[in-house]
Amino acid sequence: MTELPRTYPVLLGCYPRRWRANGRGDELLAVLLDAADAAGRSRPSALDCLDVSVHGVAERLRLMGIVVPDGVRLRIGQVSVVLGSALAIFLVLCGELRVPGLSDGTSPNHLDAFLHRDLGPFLTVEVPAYATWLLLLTAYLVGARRARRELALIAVGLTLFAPMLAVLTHHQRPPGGLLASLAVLGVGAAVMPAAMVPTTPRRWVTAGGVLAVTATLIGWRLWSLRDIPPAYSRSWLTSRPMFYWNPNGDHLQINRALAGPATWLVIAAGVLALVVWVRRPAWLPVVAFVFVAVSCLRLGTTTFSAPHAQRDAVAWTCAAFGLIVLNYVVATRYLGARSHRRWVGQRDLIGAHLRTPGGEFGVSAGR
Amino acid sequence: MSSDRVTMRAGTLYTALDRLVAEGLVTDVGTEIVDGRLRRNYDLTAMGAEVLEAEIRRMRLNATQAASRLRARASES
Repeated sequence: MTELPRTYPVLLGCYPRRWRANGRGDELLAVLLDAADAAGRSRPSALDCLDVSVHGVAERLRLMGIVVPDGVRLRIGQVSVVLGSALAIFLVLCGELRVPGLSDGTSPNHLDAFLHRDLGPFLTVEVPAYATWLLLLTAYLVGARRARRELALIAVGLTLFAPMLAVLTHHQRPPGGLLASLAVLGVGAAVMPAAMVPTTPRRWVTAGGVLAVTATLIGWRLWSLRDIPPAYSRSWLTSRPMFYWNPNGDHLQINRALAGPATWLVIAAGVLALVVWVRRPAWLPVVAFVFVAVSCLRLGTTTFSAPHAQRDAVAWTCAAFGLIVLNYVVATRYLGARSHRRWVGQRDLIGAHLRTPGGEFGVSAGR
Repeated sequence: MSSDRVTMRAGTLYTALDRLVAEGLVTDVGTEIVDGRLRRNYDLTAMGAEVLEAEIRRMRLNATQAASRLRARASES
């Protein structure tokens, strides 16, 4: 018997041992050998190798529980739409929009540079991304499935492109942590399964959620103005430049602009995760996702004089990613068992209503 | 089966097979040795036959509509 080329054992090694058990490894090997024989080769082609190794790795991930069921992706998408849209509305109102006649004269001299770099009535190059979020919310509410995913991807692209655009056009951009958070939420909205359309009542619950989160954020904003001198906070709209970058004496620092409220958001998400852990395990990945998205707000919110803030941000994010992996494993096991039970029920129902053998196409009802 | 119009690579084939087995549309009916190589045979389940029948009906309807539109276009010109 001729010895097999080493490529075959390497390819089989891509698969987990459990998958190869019960002769499946030998079966796959036979298929690969047949394909090579048919093509007149002694070893698999490069495309065959790529195809098999991708499938093998996917099987490994699946057996490790690293898959996201459709139901979880739908919930992540819904939460992302609510948070992203609310954040976009909030940022346009509190951080971007210039109210003529109110902005001038309320900022210290070192902020004048920002005021004279406006893009019309707006402050930064991120405005198109905020507008896309509002379109995405509209698409979600009217049930436009395909536009929903495309708009989410456009929002992510605009957000990731914002730093480069700011450099090219010599305009301002929001802090990196805020952009990272919006990008994560955009990805969350994009992974929502296109085939699943939430019912109309649930869409209106989403709209209510956007209003509630926006109101909460504006409430936080008003609360955060309590320590700012009256000259800067005569109106929460007039303090627009200080939303992204808070003045501290002669310096601008960004670690006080959003870090405080964001920290409370993260803590609130953690408490919520504990509650949900007890009551609804299927929602754990969603809560963990929100935890990561909000944690991103802390990234980049640091200054050279406070390097510990950067370490805190990294630690928070690592902890969040650890939690999300743990939660995925737990939720996948739970959802997998539940969907299997549902599927067995459907199968029995269809089986009970099968037509007599030899239907329209002569297909037998049994094997 | 497809008269060589479709060539499915092994990884793609097993992705589809695993999904079909998981959905209860096909089932494993045993193995055999042919020319010193292991073969596993799969067969349609009753539910798989139902789904296939529905899919054929849908494709046939699409083809009928496309053909009627083509005929209408030809008669206009």
